[in-house]
Amino acid sequence: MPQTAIQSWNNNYRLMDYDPVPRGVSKASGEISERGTRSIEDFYALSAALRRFVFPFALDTVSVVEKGTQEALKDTVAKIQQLLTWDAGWNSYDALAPNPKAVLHAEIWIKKLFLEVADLGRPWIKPNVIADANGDVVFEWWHGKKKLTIYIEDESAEYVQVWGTDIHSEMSNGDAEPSSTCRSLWLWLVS
Amino acid sequence: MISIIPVDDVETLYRRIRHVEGLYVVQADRTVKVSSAAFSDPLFRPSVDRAELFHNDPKKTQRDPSDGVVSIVARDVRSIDTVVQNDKAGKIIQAFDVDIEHVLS
Repeated sequence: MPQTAIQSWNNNYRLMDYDPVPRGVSKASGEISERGTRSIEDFYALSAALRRFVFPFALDTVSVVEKGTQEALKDTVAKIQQLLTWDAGWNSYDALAPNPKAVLHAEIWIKKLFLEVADLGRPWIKPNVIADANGDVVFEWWHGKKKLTIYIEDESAEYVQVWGTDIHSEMSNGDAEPSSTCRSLWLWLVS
Repeated sequence: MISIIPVDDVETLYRRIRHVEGLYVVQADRTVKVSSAAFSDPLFRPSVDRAELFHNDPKKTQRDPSDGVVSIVARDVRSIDTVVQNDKAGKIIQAFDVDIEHVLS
């Protein structure tokens, strides 16, 4: 007679145990970790942005891509979070204090942009990070004669691209939320 | 009481740039890029000083010795015309007139 297993509904009873690969405790562990990292490196071999950042990490419960993103954006995210310490009037005029919701949105947006750039296989350029007087977060990149500015509010992101001084024919602006727009803006910036 | 005095097109205006990381960037070639955020104002009325009232001495615009000061010409400011704000559908929701006013309060 076949045996039937009955699932326990007791939440304290662990049906499955999960142990991450231990790091540095045995030769086998090191080999597994090394092979895993190497395969991920191969996977991202065409991505100039991520390729620089996947090497130092052993396998862990957090994905290597996530760790690579965190490492690449460590300075930028620190600067974004630093904005939360600024009081109103930080610019010595009438600036509002940075909006915490805009700061959170800025972190999410810049990570999304980084992954889009990685997917394009283009190099990453660290942005200038600043707030504006309205409490929004501002990212800026200068590349040759081109300037890309992103204004992050709590629920929206707007871009301004500038490639000259004529406000009518050498500047453009729009919604910076769509992934396709992020990609286009980056290709324009680094071309 | 507030009185408004016209500012001539040829006048130079000073804007203080506080020594805050990110408000300006010194690039590898030693050129300085000033962030657009340095000119923002919650009421769209960024404050400037008229250089001629300060004897063309930008130090008088500083509050702290580490402050930077940039100069702009009134005519260039007024040449920024037809600035509009669109909604996501591209419909104009706000139009801006750009000018300089000397405000005594």
